[in-house]
Amino acid sequence: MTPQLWLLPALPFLGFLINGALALFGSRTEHGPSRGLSGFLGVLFPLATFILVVLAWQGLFLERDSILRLNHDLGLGLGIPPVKPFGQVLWTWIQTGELNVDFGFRFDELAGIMLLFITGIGTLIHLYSVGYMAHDRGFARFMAYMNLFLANMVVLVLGNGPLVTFMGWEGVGLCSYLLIGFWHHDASNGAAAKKAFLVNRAGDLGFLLGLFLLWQVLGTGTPLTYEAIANWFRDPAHAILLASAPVAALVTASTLLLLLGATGKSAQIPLLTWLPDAMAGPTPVSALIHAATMVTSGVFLLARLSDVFAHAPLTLEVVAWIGAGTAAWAAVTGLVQTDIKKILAYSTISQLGYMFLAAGVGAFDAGVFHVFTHAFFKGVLFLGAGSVIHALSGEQDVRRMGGLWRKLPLTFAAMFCGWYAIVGLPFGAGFWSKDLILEKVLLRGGPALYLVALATAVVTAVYMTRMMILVFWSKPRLSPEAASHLHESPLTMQIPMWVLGFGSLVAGFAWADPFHLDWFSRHMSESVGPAQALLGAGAGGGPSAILLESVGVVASLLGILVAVALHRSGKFRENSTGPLSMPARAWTLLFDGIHGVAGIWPVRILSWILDNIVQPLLVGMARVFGWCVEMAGGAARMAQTPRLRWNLGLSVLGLVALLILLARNIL
Amino acid sequence: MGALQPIQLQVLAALLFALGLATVMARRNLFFVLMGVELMLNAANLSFLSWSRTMPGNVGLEGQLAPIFAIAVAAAEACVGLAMLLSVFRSRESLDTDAFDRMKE
Amino acid sequence: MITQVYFWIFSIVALATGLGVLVSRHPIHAALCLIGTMVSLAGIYSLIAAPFLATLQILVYAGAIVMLLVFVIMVLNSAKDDHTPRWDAFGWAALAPAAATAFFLLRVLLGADAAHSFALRPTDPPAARGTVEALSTLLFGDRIGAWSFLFLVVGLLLLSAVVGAVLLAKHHLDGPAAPSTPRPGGH
Repeated sequence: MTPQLWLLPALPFLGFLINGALALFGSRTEHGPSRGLSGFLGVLFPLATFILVVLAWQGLFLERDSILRLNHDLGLGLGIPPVKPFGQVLWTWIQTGELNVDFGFRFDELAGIMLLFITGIGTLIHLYSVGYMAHDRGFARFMAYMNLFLANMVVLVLGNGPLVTFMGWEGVGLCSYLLIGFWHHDASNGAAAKKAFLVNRAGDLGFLLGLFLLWQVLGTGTPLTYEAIANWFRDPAHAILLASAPVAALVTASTLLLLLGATGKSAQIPLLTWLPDAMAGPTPVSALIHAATMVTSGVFLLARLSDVFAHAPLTLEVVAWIGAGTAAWAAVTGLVQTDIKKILAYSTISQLGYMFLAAGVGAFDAGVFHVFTHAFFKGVLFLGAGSVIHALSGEQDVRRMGGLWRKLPLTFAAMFCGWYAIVGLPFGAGFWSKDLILEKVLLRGGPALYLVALATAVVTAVYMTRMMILVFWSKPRLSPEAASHLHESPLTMQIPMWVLGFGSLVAGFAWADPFHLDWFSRHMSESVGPAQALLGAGAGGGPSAILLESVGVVASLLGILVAVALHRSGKFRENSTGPLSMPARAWTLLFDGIHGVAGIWPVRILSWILDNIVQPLLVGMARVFGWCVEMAGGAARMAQTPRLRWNLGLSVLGLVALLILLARNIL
Repeated sequence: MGALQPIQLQVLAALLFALGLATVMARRNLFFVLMGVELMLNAANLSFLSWSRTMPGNVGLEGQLAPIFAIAVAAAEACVGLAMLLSVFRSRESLDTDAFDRMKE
Repeated sequence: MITQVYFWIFSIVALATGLGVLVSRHPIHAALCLIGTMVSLAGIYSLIAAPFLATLQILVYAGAIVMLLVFVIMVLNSAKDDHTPRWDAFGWAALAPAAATAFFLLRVLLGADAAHSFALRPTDPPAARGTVEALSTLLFGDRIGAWSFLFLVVGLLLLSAVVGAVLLAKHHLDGPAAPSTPRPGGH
């Protein structure tokens, strides 16, 4: 297949246009445009994109594996040759003598892996939305926004350089805003959407500034594409340059700023307050954007620029601690939440912290692997939560749920798979990816980080089990109206849950070292291998993998037992988990306070200054100017007097002036 | 200070001219305006004469004809001016120049 | 020498009466001062060998024109004169352009005199003296020339002035708003 990569973002974008047109033209009718047509198109385009991604993989895949087979047959033992990624440049975007950027796409392994699950899970969630949003008046608008989001996400991942990625970055931020505030008749949804957008924007500033500094490091000779950046940083000739103090400082500054951008998108400290509020959007939005795809952009960026980050050890230290800190903080906060979606939101933040932690210790591929598995189990958890909410006619408070495992068996089965994966029980997806991260952290990060991560794993098990208990296993506490309308979800919502549930159980096997299954790490080696080699984050050394995995399983079981014990003792019913509740609640508001001081107050002060000092000054200047003109006009007007004497006087003055003019030599 | 110098006459003419100019501009009564004009014309005549006396022969003599015509013109002008003054006074009941700010009436 | 003495006497009187015109309260006083100025000027004319002009000045200027002025003043005096203030703020302001004119004129004149140093010509030959014979020869002389033509034109001017004056003042003589006379421009 010839590399018509532009089709990949173009198809969902086309879906956006068509659905948008349907929404606009159907806006005057009472019932809105046809659900069938709009839903069909809304699922068709992402599905087509997914098929194209698979075909593109074939292009990659075939080339490499056929060479592998060739190697094997001929017994040459040449090792795994690098795969040839392919790209497509669409047009010249910026062309000033010093900065030349083309708008193009590049399909390599990292992008390919991301695209597989983005488009695949994206299609499933689009299908889910058909069922979930079926009774919503703005159905076509919803499908349009979701398609637009998918298009932007594809651009983000597929871009051949940071600027193209940034375009997609901004686009997904916009779609996040549009979708969080989808039910815009409620003003609080709009406020949540605005908060998400603004916090993201603060991160975007970091992204751009970091990019500018990076360009300073690269110099004007290097085009701003990932390929060129990677080659520049991998070039041994530049090693001396990179070791020198000013360049190293520049690289560190650049990477710190890029990290700020990544934390904004991935909701890490310090830009994490928007994600819990983003739960105001419909559940498919939470599943797609705030679990599976958009929030992983930050980790994706770290992996993409792994060669740059490899040369900034200070930044990586910061990344690791941010990841660990966020994971721990979010896990504790998730323990005291009563809204089922908020629990899952904090869980997402916590798992993202794990991914950052992995990147911080130099194991970029482990981080991306956790992105991959997390998409499956978090996706199914969110979809299941949506199914529960749908079944209970909008109830989201876990204190009013319970005993649903009998009433909603299919939903329960799917969520059970997700739960099994996230707490890290053996052979689930989370088991493989989280334990891999813990292994890498111990090897390279040191015992402190490892203990924090392990403790967070325990707390993760506690709160996830708490959620499952309160929703499914405990005695029913449903309100009467909810109980009377209890019903399972329609098929369109069930199928994606089954697929993702299944995925939560088996996706981990893409990289299972003990069974020598390393499809995932092999395919990541080209993108992140050299960086990891530089940081020495390869496999091997230290305690055996099986021992570590056992420790992980023990931690998970411990967490489950703690949760069951707390439930038995009745602590969960009053929604208090002892001494942890007060500090955790204060913590929830802590970052809002920090943002207020760091961001909102300076803006308030500045605007006060502008309003009360600069504005009157400018108005005063304009007034003075006007007054001068008025005076001059008034003076000139005096000459236009009907009074005889005045006219004569002025004429005489003119005569005198003439005299002076004519006789100035003599004067 | 021997013979009469033309410059002395010129100075006198200039001063008389300035006085006439001041009268025209400073006084509000219309009569005074006309009288100021007469003063100015006189000053001009004096200046003419004194310059002509510095010229030789016939040129100097011809210089004395100009004031004759000037006097004649001054007479005509005074006549018409006074007639207008009468007309203005008839319509305005006032001889204040500052009051004449509408051409229509 | 004697010329100088006379000159100074005449010039001081002329300037004083000129000032009198400026500051007089009543138009009649101003008219009388004007006569004073004109007579002094006539004296000066006679000093510089222009006897005809001196006579003309007294006869026509002081004798006819100013008298006409006096007549009109007296006519309007009885016809409820107005109460225009003698001096106001603008009066002071008006002195400035006049003073400026005088100042610059004097500067130019004094500068020119220093540069070229003019002098009055002596009155020999006697033809240079402005007697009646000399001037009339010049005016109406041997040929029909510019001056005689100009003389005739001045006559016409005077005629038109008379006609105009009569027309303008006619309403006053007839009484207010004579309907037979078309007003120029209409109302």
